[in-house]
Amino acid sequence: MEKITLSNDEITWLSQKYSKLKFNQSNNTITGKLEFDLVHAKGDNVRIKDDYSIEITLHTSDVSCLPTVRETDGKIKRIADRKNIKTEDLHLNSDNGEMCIIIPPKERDRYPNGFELQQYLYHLEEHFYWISYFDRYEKKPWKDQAHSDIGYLELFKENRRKYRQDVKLYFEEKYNIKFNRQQFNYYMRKLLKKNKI
Amino acid sequence: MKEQFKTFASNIRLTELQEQDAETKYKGVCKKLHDHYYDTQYNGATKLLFGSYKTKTNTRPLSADQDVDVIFKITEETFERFDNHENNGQSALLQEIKNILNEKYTTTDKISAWGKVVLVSFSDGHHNIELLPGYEKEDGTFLIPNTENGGFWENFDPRLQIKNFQKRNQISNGLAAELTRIIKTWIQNTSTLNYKSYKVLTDVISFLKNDFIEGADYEEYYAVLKNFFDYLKRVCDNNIINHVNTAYNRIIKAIEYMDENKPKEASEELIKIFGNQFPKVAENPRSNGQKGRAFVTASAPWKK
Repeated sequence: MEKITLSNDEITWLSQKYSKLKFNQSNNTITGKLEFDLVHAKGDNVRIKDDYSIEITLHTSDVSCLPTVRETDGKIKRIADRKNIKTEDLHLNSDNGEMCIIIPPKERDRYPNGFELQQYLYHLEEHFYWISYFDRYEKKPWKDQAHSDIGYLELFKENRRKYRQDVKLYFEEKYNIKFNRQQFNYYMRKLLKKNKI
Repeated sequence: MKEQFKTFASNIRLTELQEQDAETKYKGVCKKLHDHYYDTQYNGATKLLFGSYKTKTNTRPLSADQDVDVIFKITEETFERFDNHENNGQSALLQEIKNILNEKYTTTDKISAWGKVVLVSFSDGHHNIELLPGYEKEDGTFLIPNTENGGFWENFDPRLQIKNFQKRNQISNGLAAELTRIIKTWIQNTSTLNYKSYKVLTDVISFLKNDFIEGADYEEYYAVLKNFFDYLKRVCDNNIINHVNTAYNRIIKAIEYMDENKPKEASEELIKIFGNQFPKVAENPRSNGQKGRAFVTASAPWKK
């Protein structure tokens, strides 16, 4: 776990661009209300204005270069309760309230230079757009990544050359196995077939 | 739209004069009965108001079917006298009460007794009194007469729902009553919708246990309505589901207009749901050119 340090420029930019979010130096967090006004130009062009209360803890983890973020007002949980669905289906970890905004191997695509505050907040806005859109229309504005192992199998299917190593490492660590190339290929084929991916 | 919702809430709430009129009428009816059955001075303790006039969820404009529901507490002696009747004592009790009231309301006002109640209909057509004579048991519930099938005493517990509603209304800082009035306005504006008042109350109580627990500002009323109709879609009876879906879709349309800075069109959608009690926005504000940030490539949300 490594601390993420914001530059003075980033702190100034944050206060100008997101007036309801506050950087707290003492515990290295960003807290407050994230407001957004977004149009998904590739989708059905629906414009959504909404806001969510969040707490961003500025440190990386073993598997991610991104800070952890929690939705602090319980809005996502209330949506799930109202719709009788699991909070996981709205990409909220029920154990600790952390939001799951991207599968780690895809962080490289979105954050080629590692964590950047602006990119991260835009990412969060779009993630919340997904939630608000689903709340309104009960359909997903774009496909989400499946949970857990299936999400990694989808990655493998999407681009096995690009994500092969990530997927292999994920399954090796999770199930405490070591694969050679042949074994891994066999294992993947079996899992893809079993899960109809 | 904050102001529009505030005005709407005020438009559908009874005026002070209307509330006084209702009070004068039910007090008059109950005092007349009290003076007949008790030797004491009337102080209101022998009546129990329930229904929308107790929960203050009645709405404007007044209609003839918005009765004031009140229980008049009969004495043990009265209860036993009619309980000992060989033939439908319950019907005889209602008739006796009707006759007593006829002494006071003689000319243009009409009194009828059937089923479980005595209805005092006033000539102005407003705040008719639906009176249930009830014998209060030790646990605070009532035995009320039911004239059907030869007559029997029915258990009735009006206090439970009132208590649950008042508790929720207090926690939600008045939102429970305000939302109920709004939903009743939707019902009044939707001619073929059969959604009973007691069910509205139950649904509002349940909804506010999860959403907007501590209430909402008027600027949040869009979200309150969206979420309530979304909740209702999942719990309502099949016979009203189409109406609920229509209202939900109109709310969503109104929200879309609001997000596009078009409050005029948004208000028109709300008028379709609630009628002209909802104020129409005359014109849209001049566009400030803001269009919202457009994004194309979005990351897929995930779950560990």
